Amino acid sequence: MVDANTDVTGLLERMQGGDERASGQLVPFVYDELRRLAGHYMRGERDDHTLQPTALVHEAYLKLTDQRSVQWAGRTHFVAVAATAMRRILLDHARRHRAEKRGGGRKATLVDKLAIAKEREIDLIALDQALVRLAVIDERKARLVELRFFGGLNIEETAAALDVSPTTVKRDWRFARAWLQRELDGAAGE
Amino acid sequence: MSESTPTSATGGDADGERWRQLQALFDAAADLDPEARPEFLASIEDAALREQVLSLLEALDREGGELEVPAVERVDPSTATTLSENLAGSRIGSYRLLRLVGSGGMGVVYEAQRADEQYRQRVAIKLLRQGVDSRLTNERFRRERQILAALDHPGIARLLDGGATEDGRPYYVMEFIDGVPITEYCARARLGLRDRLRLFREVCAAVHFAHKNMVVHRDLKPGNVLVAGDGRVKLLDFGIAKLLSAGGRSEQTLTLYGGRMLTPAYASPEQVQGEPVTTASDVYSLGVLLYELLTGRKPFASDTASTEDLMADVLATEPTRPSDAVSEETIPQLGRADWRAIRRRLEGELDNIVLMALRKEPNQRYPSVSQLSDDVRRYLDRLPVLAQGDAAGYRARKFVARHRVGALAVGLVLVLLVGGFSATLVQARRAERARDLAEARFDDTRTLANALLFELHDVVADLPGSTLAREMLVSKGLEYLDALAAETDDDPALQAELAEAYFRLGMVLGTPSGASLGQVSQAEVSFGRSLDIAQRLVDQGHTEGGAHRSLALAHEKLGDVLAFRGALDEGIDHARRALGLWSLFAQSSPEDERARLSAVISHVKLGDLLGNPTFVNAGDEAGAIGEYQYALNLLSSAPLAESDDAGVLRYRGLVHERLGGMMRGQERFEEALVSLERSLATRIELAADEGTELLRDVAVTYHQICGTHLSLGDLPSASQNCSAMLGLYQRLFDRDPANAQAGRDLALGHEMVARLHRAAGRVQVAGASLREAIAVRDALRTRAPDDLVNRRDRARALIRLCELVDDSAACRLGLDELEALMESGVTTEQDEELKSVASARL
Repeated sequence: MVDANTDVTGLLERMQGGDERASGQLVPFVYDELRRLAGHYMRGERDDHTLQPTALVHEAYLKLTDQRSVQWAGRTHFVAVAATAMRRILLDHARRHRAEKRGGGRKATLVDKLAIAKEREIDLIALDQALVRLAVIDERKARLVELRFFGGLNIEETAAALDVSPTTVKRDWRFARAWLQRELDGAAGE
Repeated sequence: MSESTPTSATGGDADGERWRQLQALFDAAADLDPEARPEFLASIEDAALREQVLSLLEALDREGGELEVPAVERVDPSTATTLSENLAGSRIGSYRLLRLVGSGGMGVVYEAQRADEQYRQRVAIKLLRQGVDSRLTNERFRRERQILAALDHPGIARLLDGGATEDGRPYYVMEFIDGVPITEYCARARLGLRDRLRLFREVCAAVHFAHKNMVVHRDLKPGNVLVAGDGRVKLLDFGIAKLLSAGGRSEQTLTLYGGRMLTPAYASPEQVQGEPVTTASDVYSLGVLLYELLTGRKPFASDTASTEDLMADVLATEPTRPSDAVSEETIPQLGRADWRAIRRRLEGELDNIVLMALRKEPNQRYPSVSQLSDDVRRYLDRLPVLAQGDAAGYRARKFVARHRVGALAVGLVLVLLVGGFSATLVQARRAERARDLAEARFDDTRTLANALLFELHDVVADLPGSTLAREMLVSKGLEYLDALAAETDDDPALQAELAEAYFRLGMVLGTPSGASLGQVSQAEVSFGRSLDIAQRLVDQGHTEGGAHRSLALAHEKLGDVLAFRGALDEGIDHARRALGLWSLFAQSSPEDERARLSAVISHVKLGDLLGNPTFVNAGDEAGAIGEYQYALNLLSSAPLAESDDAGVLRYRGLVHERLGGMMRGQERFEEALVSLERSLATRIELAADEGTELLRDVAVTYHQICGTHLSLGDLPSASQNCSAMLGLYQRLFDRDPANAQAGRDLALGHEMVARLHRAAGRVQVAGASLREAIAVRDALRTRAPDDLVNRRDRARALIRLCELVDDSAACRLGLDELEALMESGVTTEQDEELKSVASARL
């Protein structure tokens, strides 16, 4: 990896040109950079109030690409890849913390239980397993959840990344949320 | 198979068709109102599929949008810490923590109760979060406590107590507000537009109070603006508020830290950009809040857009007009189904108010929260608001302002507007059955009538030759208001507008003082109508639309016209009533300069009618002097004594002049001179502000008075007037040295002063004055060599100087110049004499 910038830009261009493999090759770059950035945030090295995934991804994007030669559509591809990377990063953290907890170590903190609004929370590992099951039945919906929840994309961006209409995204998103909730409730009850 | 257990995955590709069917049914059911769902579900024949749809719908209800918040946005180290800490049940100080009710950036909030039995007060305790103990956050937390302690206002959650826990974490105790966010309250209570606006003004009052105490809230949003059970607004969370230092600047370190914390949907452009935050930022956030209260949505799509896009919108996108933002989708927030009627009511003034608060540039917004609140009040009172958008009247006024070509343009605008008007009225009548449409038209017509009567009229009033146009504008406007009033005689705001309209018509028809058409008897009728309407409003207690003021004005003007046509006793009676009202206003708001000045004017008017020989009067000179002295007392006491308002100065000059005139009439000359000199001094002060022309007029008058005294041989008086003259000429010259007239005036002034000194025998001083004059003329000659009059006068001054101090060089210069000018036609016989004087000295 002589020059990450050139590499990522080239991969993005190939992706735009329809080269499927480029996407897979891009993931490690993005993953590394995001993990590095996320690490900063999670260790509290930045005093931002909240983490903005779009800001995070954008920052990674700026670092990894030469913007002069990447069109806007390239950004969508990048964010789509970043969403996958983000899912892995967060899941890794969650698994590690769960292991520590089982080992009688620290309290559950940070990423394995994501704090929501006030008292509610999402079990990331259970969510990930449910998403794997969803992907078996309906890959597009699983991908959609990844883009929305892990990538922080809005409806329009998700629609562009999946090449479907925003209306479809809205419907699929509602359905997927209901389905995942049902799965999570079922898992919790078991 | 999938039917066996609803919680398991529903098979693979073989079930693709069934999966699609499931989604189609789910989509259809989820789109329905909850009440309509059972019927729909019952219509699904396939029992397994029906079960699936039902369980998914139930899951959707439970889901509550948790996945809507993207994963990383939840990763907040401090929030994560709280999960492991719940202090409910424990004690802090004399309080027992009951439950965790919220957590913010650096603190957590518990509902709590005093632990000692006799005093069961519910409170909220805010505690610095465990693990968040940097010096800076500690400082900020203490700062918030300090801020809150200073803010004792019914609209702001009160600070009750404070301290530190055993492990040294600062906490404070606040009034517990059992309330709901203002937006939610409005939606639940199905509040109408006017009630929402009134509630919003309560929010403004609390924010304004904070601003007066040098505190900017910086995070105004529905979650921080609660409505308690008693329907009153309470402002919470000064967590990121900042103290303004006296200079209005923020305190650096706190801002740097706090500046990063914001709620993008409510943050102002300057907050998003990290620029200095002032009270204008709260005005913006209040604008967002008002937008949401009126339309049921935020100015920019915050629920679907990314934070990044939202911030870009805040910076660069003009918000959709509130009236356009109202749609069928916002019915739940608005609490009413007639969204089209709401849209129409927002159009125009409310649009303008909200958009003015939401301007990107802080200095384009309302200058203060109280001004935003006042404009909302004006809307509620059905008065024209100050915020301007692209409304018809505004456009028309701009048109006139751009084309100041007099009555022709005015006439054109008038035709356009009146044309639009008639169409509006016709439509209004056709729409009688569609009640809310008619209501909207009613408002439209009224808006246009007001534009004619007030906005256009005021612009046109400055144009020369516009009296007739003014009369047309006012009577057309009045005609429509009258028609509207005939339909509803129980609308006090409309009646107040009518009173004002009749007053204006009277003014243009025939006020004895000021430009009018001179139709005094018609004016009398108009003022009389205005008075009747205003009196009725006051009698009924409808004084909110300025009825008292209208009543006082009508009395005053009616007094004028009656006296003018000889009904002196009646006129004086009205003038006395006007004075009574104005005095009442002046006493009830001692700080209000306008009210005091109105009282001054009223005293003067009554004095004029009572016994000023210059006017039609009742011969009561002592009464007149008494009124003028009352007026002077008001002008000489606070707040008018300190005022440099042009109106106040003008009346100060006028009252002194009136008194001086009365004294002179009674042959009390010394007193007369004192008053007249004071009048002069005031008028000079006024003229100095007013402009060059007036100031020069004053100087020229001094110049002439000085010359006259000199001719009469009264050297001290001449000297006094001349030095006043020279001072003014010098000031005008300094103000604009390039102005040739100012140069000539100054030189003439010096020459006059030289004559004065020579007459007093001060030869050397006279010579010095002449040299001053010559220096100014030299400069003038260099700049404008073809100004022959200046060259001639320079030559004369040179020869006079030569004559005075025996300076032969001056004689040579003067003589040569006069020789050169002999053929030009500017020389006179006087110059022949000067030539021989000069020749004799050489």
